[in-house]
Amino acid sequence: MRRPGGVYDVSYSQDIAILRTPFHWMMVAVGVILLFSMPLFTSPIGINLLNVVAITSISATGMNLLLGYAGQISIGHAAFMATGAYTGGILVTHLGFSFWAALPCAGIAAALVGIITGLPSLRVKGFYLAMSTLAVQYIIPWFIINVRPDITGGINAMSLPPPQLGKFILDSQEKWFYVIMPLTFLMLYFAKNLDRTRLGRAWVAIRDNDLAAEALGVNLFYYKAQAFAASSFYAGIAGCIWAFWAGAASTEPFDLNYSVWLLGMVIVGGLGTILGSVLGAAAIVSLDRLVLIAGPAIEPLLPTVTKGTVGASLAPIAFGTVLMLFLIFEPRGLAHRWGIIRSWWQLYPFRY
Amino acid sequence: MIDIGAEGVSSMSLAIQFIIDGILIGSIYSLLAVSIVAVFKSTAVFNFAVGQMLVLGGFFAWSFLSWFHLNLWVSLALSMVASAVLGYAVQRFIFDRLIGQPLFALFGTSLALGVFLSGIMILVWGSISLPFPEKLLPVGSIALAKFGLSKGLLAGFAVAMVFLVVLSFFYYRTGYGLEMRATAEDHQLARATGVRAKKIFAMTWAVGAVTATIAGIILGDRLGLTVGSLPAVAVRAFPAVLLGGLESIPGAVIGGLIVGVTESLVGGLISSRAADISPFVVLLLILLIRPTGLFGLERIDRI
Repeated sequence: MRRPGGVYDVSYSQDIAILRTPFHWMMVAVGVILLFSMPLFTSPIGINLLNVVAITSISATGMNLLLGYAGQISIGHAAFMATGAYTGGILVTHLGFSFWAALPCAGIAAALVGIITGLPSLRVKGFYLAMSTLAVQYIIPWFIINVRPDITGGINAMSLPPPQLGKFILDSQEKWFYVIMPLTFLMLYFAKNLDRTRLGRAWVAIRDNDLAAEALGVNLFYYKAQAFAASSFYAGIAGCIWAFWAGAASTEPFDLNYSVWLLGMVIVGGLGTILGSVLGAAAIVSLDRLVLIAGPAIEPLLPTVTKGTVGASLAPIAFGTVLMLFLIFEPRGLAHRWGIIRSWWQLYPFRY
Repeated sequence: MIDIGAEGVSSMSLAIQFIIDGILIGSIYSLLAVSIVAVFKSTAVFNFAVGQMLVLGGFFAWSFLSWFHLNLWVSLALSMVASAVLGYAVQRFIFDRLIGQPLFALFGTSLALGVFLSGIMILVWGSISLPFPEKLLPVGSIALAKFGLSKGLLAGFAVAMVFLVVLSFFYYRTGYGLEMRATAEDHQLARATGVRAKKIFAMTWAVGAVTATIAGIILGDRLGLTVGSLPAVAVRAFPAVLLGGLESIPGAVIGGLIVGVTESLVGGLISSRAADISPFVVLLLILLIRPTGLFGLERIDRI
């Protein structure tokens, strides 16, 4: 890690600290205060955007643990989110759990499904494994819709009551904001820590060279299963929050397309960095919103066959273009760019 | 006793009927699987955008017919030329820049390409289902012994099989086909013998796009062209590809037929809703039991 000149570690706790310098602490404090005072001077639309970015960051972090750290490609991440959403929904509406008890259960249920999905990783890897996640992406929503429609509501969305926190009922974007943000911070902190444990190092070893990792004594199957479990735990938590935040659980938003979007967020943000998941989620969600606004504005300029399609078409066009450009020109993502800016700032006026 | 026997015979013939239907429908999956395998063998890119390419090819044919009012055969020929150009451009402008990149980059790019193409299609043709102005394939059915054969499916099957024969002729009897096979076998060796690998990659993409277009026209004629649901049909070709072993073109054809039969049997004998996920259950089973598929090669990794 790059640090300003003259900053040395003199104890182990300093060596493992995430925030190393007083300046770090100051920036984080200012950032947190700014973030939590956001509802005072932002419109409800802005708060809504921040909430979406935060929930998506949790999910993208899960994706990053799997793809960026363990190197296993998944295009079934949205299905794990759906698992979390419906587990939470069923526990709350049918079994009388509170939202706070249902949330970890949703994560655990998604993690179990994730481990099952990862089972083929015992025999296959890379591209073949991605295929098993593709199968899961289709099978899970099918199960939710068809197996017990009396519980899940089948093809219809399952409406959920707003959760309570003490006397507060979470029924507005601002109230949700103060719940979602601390949860997101907690999840990101946990992921950042995973990165530096035996587990995280084993994942990186598997990603970089699985045969070499195995030769070094890393149990491939065990750690891949762990990667799937951790990744889908994050997805499950994000899905559960999403469902209660939206007031309804439905399989519709969690389709293959959304899995591809999550994959794209992680790639655009930067693989193998927690910061990258957040940057990617923020960039892609903002892009999506921007395009929604831009759609009606540029519609009169284009001769189209059917009117009103420009808005729907711009989001996939923009996303596809951005993802391809990043893969071709900056496969290390926004996090790498941020690193370049930081080191330029620290070393100015010298080049390096 | 006799009643039970008659019942048994009729359910038997029902099953045969479903198998016949499955083979006819499976020919579409075979086409798509061949498209994927041809591209994968040469360029090591798994074409996730095949579903979007299929619909786009169908839209090309639709546009030549409905916008320019061209003759049917001219429209079909032009749509194939257009999709070949598209496939060529995809390799030239996108995947040429990604040679030697890790798996996730190729994977992500083909997914991004699919999303991008679907956006373009919504922009140009809208998101509602467009039927062809006239039926291209015959309608109705013919009776053969006790079994009914849908003429449309039969014609689609015939077109698919004729195209596959033409494709194998191209692969095995022409100079370009030989170069393509050589490149698929070993890039470096092929280049050492004077094959221009990048050109061959682009040609392979063109072949893949044309193959998808044929499937798109057959499917579009039967179901109408939509960006929303038609690419999902192509996703069912992925199990077919793995079943065939990812690197074998005959395997892809047989895999497609098997997936079609499975889907048709599950749909007829269990429930039509179960048919929707039967290809994916097959996919999971292949991965768990025999990841190399029926005709695949066991790869041995070296550090």
